[in-house]
Amino acid sequence: MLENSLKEIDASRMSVRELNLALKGVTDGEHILIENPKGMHHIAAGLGSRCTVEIEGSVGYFAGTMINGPVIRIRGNAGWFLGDNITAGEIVVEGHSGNGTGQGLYGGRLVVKGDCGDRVGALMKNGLVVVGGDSGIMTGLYMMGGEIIALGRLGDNAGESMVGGKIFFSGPEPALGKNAKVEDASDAELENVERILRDYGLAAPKMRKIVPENPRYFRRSEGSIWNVRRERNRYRVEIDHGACEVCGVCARVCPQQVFKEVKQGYMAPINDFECVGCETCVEYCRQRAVRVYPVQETGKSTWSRREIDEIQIKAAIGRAPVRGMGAWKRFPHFDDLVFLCAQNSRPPIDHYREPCETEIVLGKGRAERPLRAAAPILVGAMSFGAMSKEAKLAVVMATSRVGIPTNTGEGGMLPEERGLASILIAQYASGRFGVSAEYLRSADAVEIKIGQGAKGGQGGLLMGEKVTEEVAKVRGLPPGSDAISPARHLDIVGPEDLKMKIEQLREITDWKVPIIVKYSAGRVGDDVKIAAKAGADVVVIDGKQGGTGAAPDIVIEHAGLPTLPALVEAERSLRELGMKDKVSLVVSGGIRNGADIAKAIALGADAVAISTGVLVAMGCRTCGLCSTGRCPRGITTQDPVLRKRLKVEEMAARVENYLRAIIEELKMFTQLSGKTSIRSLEKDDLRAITTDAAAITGVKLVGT
Amino acid sequence: MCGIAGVLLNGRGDVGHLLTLMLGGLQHRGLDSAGVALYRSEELPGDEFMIRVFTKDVIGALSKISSAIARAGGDIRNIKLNSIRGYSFDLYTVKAQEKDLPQMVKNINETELSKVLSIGRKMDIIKDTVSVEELDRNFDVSSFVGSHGIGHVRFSTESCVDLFHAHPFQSFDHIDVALVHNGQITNYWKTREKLEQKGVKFQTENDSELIVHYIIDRLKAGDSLYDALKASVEELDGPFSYIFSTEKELGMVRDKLGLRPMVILDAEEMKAVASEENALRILNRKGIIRNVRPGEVICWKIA
Repeated sequence: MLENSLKEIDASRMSVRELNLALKGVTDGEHILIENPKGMHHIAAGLGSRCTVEIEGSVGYFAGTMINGPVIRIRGNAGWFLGDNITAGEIVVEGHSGNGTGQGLYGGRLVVKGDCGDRVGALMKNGLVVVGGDSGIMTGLYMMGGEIIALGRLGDNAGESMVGGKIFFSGPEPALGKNAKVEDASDAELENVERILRDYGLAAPKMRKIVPENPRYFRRSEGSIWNVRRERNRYRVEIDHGACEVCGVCARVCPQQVFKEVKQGYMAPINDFECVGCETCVEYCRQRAVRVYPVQETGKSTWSRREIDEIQIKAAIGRAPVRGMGAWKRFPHFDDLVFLCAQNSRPPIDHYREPCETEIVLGKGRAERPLRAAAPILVGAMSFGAMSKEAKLAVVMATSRVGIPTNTGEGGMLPEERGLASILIAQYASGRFGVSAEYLRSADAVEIKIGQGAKGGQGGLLMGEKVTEEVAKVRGLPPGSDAISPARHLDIVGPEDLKMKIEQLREITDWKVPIIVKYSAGRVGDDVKIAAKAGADVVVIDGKQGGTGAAPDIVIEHAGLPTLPALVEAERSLRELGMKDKVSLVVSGGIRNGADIAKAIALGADAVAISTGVLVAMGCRTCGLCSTGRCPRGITTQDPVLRKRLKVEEMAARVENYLRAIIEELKMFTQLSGKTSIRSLEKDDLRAITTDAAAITGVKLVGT
Repeated sequence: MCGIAGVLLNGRGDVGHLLTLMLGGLQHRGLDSAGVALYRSEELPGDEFMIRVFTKDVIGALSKISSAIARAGGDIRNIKLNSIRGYSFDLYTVKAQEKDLPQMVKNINETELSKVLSIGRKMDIIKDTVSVEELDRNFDVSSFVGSHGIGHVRFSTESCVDLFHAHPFQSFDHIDVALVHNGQITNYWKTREKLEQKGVKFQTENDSELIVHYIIDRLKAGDSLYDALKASVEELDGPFSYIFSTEKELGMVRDKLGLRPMVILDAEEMKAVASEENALRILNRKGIIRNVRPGEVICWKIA
């Protein structure tokens, strides 16, 4: 690099925004010197050019976050989460760095010559972290790939819950975390490590490595409640032998092997204990010869069939059983409310002749480009990986045609997705799959997922079986690796962290797109206030009727608030803060039809998110097999045979029809209440038909 | 919740200025309120106390407070008036017996015009629902000279935003102690119940107040500050880092999982602690800067 091409930036009078804007104009090959960085956070966030940046002094949190290409040298210390989610490039720190150094790395290199804090390389997927000095506890936490080279002392619980990658170390053998073991490194590995270290003037004798003891540590295939040999049936299956042609289609499509041709020309549901009620057989049977009936519950309410069944499963597997979908118990819901129709006191608007506005704008407050949608509906976040590519594409095509936003889910963005989606929200979740500056910038909004209604306060795991080559590529993972989503973002532990996270994402997206924060409904009042004060444009509250691909059944049924009270609390919080105009409120969890949407809006939501309803339109029967990967409808599976059952174009048309129908229904309720815009719906348009719903919502009880 | 900072000088010096600088560097961590607890180097005469009282500026308030103090056997020696936006944050110097102080606090609070913010022989607490800069402008924090101090900027989580939920927190049962806290105590109600059974009176539902009472309870039982802090790591659950100050010591601690940040500076002329390293860098002192380890307890004594 020639001396005269060095460009100096004195940051002493600059904000981080100004500094990052100056860096944005830098092109490949340029050489920049930043003086007086003042420990600013988010320096060089999302920098994409192949330039060299030298920083004279210490930097704050998230230095070089999500860079893709540059070389950054820091002559000082770095704060927490240095080089967070880098895809390519290199960062060299002469001093020390804080917690979470190199978390979620996808590629590139991070070299810290001094000490590092806790959780170095947590959630790493690929790339390399070199620590010259000591590192804190839990180095390589939830590591899924990549390499860490630690020259100094490793803190306790090294390699905690790692499922991939390697940690080379030369210090004394540390106290290991769960599923970590020490092995001798091969000569080839040692040679490679030595070569890397030489580049940075470092050397270390006698390196050994920490690797996962069992790369499938989290595998619990028998954990699904549908994978256990059952002793009681929940569905009764019958075959009309007069109509049955013994074509065998029922046996081929059944995910649970219920049917068997017990003797020549005689098909019998011999294994109906395993039936989950997906009714695929019913639909595929040309002769309509198969019938599936739910078994009646007994009158023993404490010891219902279901409870006894659950105990039997636990007794068989010794673990809390897991299933897909949301809560199946009954909770106070929108069904407990009715609309008052306009008659003589106010006139109804005619649905067939007169207009009704349904357009909405979300996030008008701070973002340059707020989210505009044709109707107050968002399709909720469902990841590629949990869902098949066919199901994702059908949803994207349908929402684009209707003109409403769709969400990538936590599994990254499919290559086709951006092109097809007219409005696309990129989700940013705790596992950080497929996250890069480019990913976030290409979206129309970024959603920080703190939690999910069905499994509030819990993380998740996508089984390695579902991590095919294609899923791995989109997620930035090694193929076949379990994809771990921790229960919390490792860098969002308190409210000020959320504020910093929002600033970080805004720096990366140039303050252009709205930032959404999605919560599972728990301490809704407090959480919503925090999100609003931390700078969120939109808050999504997901109630416990919301679905999931997999969660412990007991958590689905017993943790989190139902959607209705959650919405009421969230709305009150925003009102108390006086921020209803600045922060949009979206509610989700068990929204099925136009009546639910209209009631949610009347209670103060700006929009709703629908996910399960969309899947049902595609053929889902909410059987709960999602986590097994055996979805008979080709929705939540990566099995090529099952995926073929989902015809993308046909299902896109069905989803589109469903969405158009519920928008139509929403208009009906608006107009019969005497309004011409959905934004005019209000609480007084409703009446509660149960005292519970009246007490929860403050809506007047009918007849009082 | 928030950003926290503390400083302890090797001798007497510009504690107020240093704290203001550090809190300025942490301002982005919370905008709901700001506050400091400052310790003078010299103690008041044995029977004199400084009482900081928050009062609505209405006619007759001063005489009501004066009589409330007198009724508890206090003799007002000096009043430093400090009036802001229709409220006053007056500092009374009162001659009294230490055992009468709880009654005095009760009397003042019962006037319904006023609330006691702090009592100390060395310590004074200043806090308000403003930015650090405004706090300094209103109270001239920067010019304070003393031995040590702690400070806080608040981002509220589960309790309300007002002056009384602002940090530092103090106790009227044990003068000259203060606390600043960043985090949540997730076994709040269970721990509170245990303390209440021992007769501790809670003023708010803020979990930070719980830590104050918890530590004082241990100190009264004969623990050293170090031991009390160490016990809190085991008995208090959730993510937290906090700084506890007494007239002689500055103690700090991080939760076992290290979920809340804390960085310390060890320099020749001073020791400092803050939520983020940048707040320490602003001080521009040569010395060792390092992260406090998860579950680690550190106590610094004044010279």
